[in-house]
Amino acid sequence: MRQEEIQRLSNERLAELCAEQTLLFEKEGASDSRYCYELIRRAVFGIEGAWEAIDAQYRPWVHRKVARYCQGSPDDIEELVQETLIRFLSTVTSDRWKKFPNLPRLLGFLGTCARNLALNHRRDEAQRRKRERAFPEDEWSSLPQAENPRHRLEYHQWQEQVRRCVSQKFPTPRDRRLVVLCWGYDLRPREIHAQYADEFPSMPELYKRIRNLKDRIRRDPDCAALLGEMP
Amino acid sequence: MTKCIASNEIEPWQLDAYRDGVRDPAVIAHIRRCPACAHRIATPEPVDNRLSAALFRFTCPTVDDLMNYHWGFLSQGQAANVAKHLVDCPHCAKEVAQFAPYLLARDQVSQTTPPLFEQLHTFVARLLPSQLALAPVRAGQERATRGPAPTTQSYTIDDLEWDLILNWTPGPGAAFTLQGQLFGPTADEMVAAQAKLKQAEIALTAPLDADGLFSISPVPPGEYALYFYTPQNKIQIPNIKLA
Repeated sequence: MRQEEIQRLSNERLAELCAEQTLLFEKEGASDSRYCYELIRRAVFGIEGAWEAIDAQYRPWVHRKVARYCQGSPDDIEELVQETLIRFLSTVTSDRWKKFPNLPRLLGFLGTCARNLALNHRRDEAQRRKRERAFPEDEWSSLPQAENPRHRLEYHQWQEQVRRCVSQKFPTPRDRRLVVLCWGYDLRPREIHAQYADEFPSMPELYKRIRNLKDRIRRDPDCAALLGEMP
Repeated sequence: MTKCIASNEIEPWQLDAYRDGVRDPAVIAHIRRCPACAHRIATPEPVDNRLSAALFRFTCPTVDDLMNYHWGFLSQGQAANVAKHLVDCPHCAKEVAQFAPYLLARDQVSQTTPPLFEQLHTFVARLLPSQLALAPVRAGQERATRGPAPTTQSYTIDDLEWDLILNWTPGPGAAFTLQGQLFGPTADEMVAAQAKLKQAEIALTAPLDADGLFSISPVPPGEYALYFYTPQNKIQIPNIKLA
C-alpha cells in the first residue's frame, strides 16, 4: 500500500492493520510497521480516536514490560502502566515528532518510559534502605512511605536541613567535592582513590580529610543535632 | 575499654582505613592488643549512615532528566550539565546505560528484516591523514582546560560529501568521553539522527543536535565501531580505539 493511501485509512482500519502486522512481527520478525507508525503519529498530533487505538494495541505490551521491571500488586502495576503511557504521550509531542522517524524508535522510547519507572522505583528502594540503616528503630523505617505522607514530609525536610547545614559548614569546593563523593555517591575511600586518583592521589591524606570532615560535622552543634550526635 | 592502650601507635585515620578493608600489619597488631580500637572498628559510625541517608544522590539529575538526556530532549545547557555529571557519577552512568540496550535490541530486530521504506543506505567513513584534519569541534564541546589532551580524528564520507570530526578524552576513573560533530546533513536530518557506539556487549547512543554535535560518556576503554543513523543513511566508522 502506498503511503498516501495509508494516510487516508480510518483509525479503525489502521488499528486492524497495525494489530495484524504486530502479530506478524512477533511470529516472523518481519512486518510492515507503517500502519502502527501512522496510528501513533495521529495520536501524537491529537487526531480523535487514535490514542484509544494505540492504548488498546500497546497496553498489554507495556504491562508485560512494567510487570517484569517492577514488583507490586495488580493495581500498582496497572497504575504504572497508565503512568508509562501518559509519560510516552506527554513526551512524544508533535514538535518532537522528527526525532522518531520509525516505529522501532517510538517503541524503544515507550520501553524506555517503562524502564524509567523501574529506575525510579529502584532509587526509592535505595533511599528506603539508607533510611532504615540510619534510623533502625525509628518509626520512619517501620512504616511504608506512601501510607505516611506526614512522615515522608518530615523525612524530606530533615534531608533538606542536613544538606543545608552541611553545605554551610563546608563552603569550599574542595570539601564539598569530598562530601559528594563520600555520601552523595556513597563511595568508600578506596573507591574514591581508585576512580578519582588525579584529585586524591594519597590514600592516607584522603582518610585524614574524610575524618576531618566528620569531626567538623560532629563539632558543629546544628549539624550534630540534626544527625542525632549531640557534641 | 574506652581508651586506646597506645594512641601513639596508630592514627585515627588508620582505623578508618582498616574498616575500609586496608590491612596494614601495624594496625592489625595494634587491634589485637587494644580492645578499645577493636570495639571502634566493629561499631559503625552513626554519622556515616545518617549523612548517607540525607545526602545520597542529592546532586543527581532525576531519572526523567536522564531519559530526556538520552533521547536528546534537553536544551544544550541542561544536556551539558547532565553529561558533566555522568562522567563523574557511577550511579547515573549505570542508569543511563540501562536505557541503551533496549533501544539497541529494537534496532537490531528492525535491521534484520527492515521494511523497504526503512532501508538505509550504508556508507563507511574514511579516516583523513592528520595533516588534513578538520578544525576542532566548536565551542561548547571543547575540552576543559585541565586534564589530558583529547585524541582527535577527522573523517570524510566521500559519496555523500559529509565530514566528521571526533575527539575523545579520558575522564575520572578509566572512562572516556567521546564527542564529535557531523557536517553535511540538513538540520532536520541532524535532529532525527543518532550516534551509536558499539562493542560486543556495549551499545551507547546519543542524539545529534541541529548542528550535528553529540557527546557519549562515560565510555569504557576498548575498541568500538561508531554508527550514525540519519533518516536515509547509515554511516559506519570502524575501529575506534579508546585507550
